[in-house]
Amino acid sequence: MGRAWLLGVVLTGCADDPRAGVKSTAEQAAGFRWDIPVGLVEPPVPADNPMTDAKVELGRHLFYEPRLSINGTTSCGTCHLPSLAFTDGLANAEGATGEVHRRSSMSLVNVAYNTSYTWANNLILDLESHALGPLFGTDPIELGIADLEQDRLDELSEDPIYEALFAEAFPEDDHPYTLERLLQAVASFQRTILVGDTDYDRYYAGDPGAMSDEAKDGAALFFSERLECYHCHGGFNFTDASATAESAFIEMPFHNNALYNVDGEGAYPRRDQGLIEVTGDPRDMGAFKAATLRNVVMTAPYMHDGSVADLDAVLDHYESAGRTIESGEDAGVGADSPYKSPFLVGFELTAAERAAMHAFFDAISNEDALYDDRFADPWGNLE
Amino acid sequence: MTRSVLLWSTLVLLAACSGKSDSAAEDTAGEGEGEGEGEGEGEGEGEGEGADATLQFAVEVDGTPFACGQDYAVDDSTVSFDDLRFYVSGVEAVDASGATVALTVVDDAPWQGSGVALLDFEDGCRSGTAEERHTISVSGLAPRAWQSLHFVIGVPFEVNHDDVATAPTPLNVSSMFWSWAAGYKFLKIDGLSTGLPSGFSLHLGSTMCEMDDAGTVTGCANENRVAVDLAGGFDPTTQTVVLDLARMLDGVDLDANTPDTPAVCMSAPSDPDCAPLFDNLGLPFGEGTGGSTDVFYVR
Repeated sequence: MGRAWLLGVVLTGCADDPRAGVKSTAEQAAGFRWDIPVGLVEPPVPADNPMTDAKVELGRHLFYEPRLSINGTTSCGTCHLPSLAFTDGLANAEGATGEVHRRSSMSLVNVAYNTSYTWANNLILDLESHALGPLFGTDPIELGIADLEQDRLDELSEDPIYEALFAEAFPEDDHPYTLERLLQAVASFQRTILVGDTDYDRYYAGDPGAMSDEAKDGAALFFSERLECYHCHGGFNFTDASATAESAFIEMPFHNNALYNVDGEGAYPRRDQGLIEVTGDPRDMGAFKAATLRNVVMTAPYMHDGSVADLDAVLDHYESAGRTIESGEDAGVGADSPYKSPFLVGFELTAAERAAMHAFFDAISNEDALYDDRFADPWGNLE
Repeated sequence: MTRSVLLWSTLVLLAACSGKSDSAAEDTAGEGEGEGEGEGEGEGEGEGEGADATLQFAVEVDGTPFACGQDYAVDDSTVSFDDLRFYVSGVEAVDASGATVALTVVDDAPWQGSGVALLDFEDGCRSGTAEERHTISVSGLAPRAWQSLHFVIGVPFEVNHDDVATAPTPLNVSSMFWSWAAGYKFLKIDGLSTGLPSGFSLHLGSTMCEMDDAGTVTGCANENRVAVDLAGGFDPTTQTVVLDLARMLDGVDLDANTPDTPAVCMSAPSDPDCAPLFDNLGLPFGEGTGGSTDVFYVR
């Protein structure tokens, strides 16, 4: 028996690997065409969940479906609102039953390029498996439908809207109302949340007037060895934790950006210590993924726990090469953390430079794109 | 069938040889009929295909039978439980000669598959599911006295990191999957106490797992599988394996929780509240090196 299991693992290893079987556009299911905005490229797609328009449309309905929460109040979209670049504006997300998450809702803008999911987990490698957390997690309860998913899917199966959507999305299935199909559809929808075509993108695509001089100054600062921002927030998606359909090598970087140092030895508060919780490796203390900065002007408050209120405070944080908290149980000098990223070097911005940074943040944001009907709540519950 | 029967006989006759006979477990096809077991209210109790024995399980709290939602006095606290489920695998029996026989956990959907059995003692009193299961159908266990019974609380590594969305039953139970650790909860106990009225959890599973570049989990630093060894004789036709929660929770404070950690223990190596539970289960934790466990006994 043991050998049979091993064999099964070996044989299915390739098919299950979310990062292995990326298909080019030509190989996607017939008829699907990516709508890739200026500045972006085709994202990776798992070989076992090729993109189709019908899956995307079903996924959009499910993404905004409050019946997929324990009490019918909450959907994915509750914490990932298009009008806030698919965040919720809260420091700490709130689940269906009112339990408060220790972390802040991440933006889903360009989420398809992520090499890992959530703020700090190197075991969650695709959107399909990521959704298990919000659906079923109990610490805290987010959507809270552990043990209930089949009941809810059966309920949806009696809704004529879903009858049509599921049939179109999975025409080969006799009974498509399964968790696997749910996850595939929601992931397919999320992969279409591609936001580019910013001033910055159009400038680099050859439109010299697209970006203001002030924004160009900000870009020069952002990509300078003086500020060092781009090491972690570099690349087309402004995070080093990105991959495209063409990526040959996959990286899953995590960084300690010196928000906390509660014991003088680099410890983060016990409520959330980042990647170390998953790996147990002391070097992963306080290590989190660098979030994309695309549409960053819409995603306040910032950091994994929403503890930095606005972009000025973010700049203050990096100017001082780490945060100092004077009193209380989180007190400590982040800048002295032995775990902090070597790219937190500290700097001082003039008022003009600070303004240039803000102009740059605007230039890598495209707010209008979020109001695309393709991203909208079909039920009309949310903006 | 023929081969495994012969094998048992051989083992009995040639007691001195005492070779380990894993092969017996592979001969599942066409095993004789198992002993029927007529009772149970809404409980899964099917004999799986090829089963020749049923292992009976029970849960109690210091002699009082377990019931979902019922109050128990534990130390100075009143505790009630609303979830109690666990996976069992790696079932072996040792015969009179000292030979170990690996038993097959036969396929018996929805409770058994992939060599794993799900036992379920909650009836959905607050959450969870209405169905229960207190038995494991196995093949390879002749109806006679055995020296001892071994089993593991946990899902074997080979299937522990499969995709819950596509895994066959009983590995498709969403509440038993830990997405953050890419594996299953081997044991899930939830409840309420005087000191933690909003609830506590005791969740056991592998932690600190690593993936290779292909996205396959290659190992876990803390496996956290509980090896149970019930010596002193076991007759599957008359006896029951009992989990005593009082023993499991001895020294575990269900009325308090270290701030900023999950209440009470979700297997985090950094959560000091886990130490007594792990110790009771014979698992290494922190300074503790692990050992054996006595939370199960035969009645």
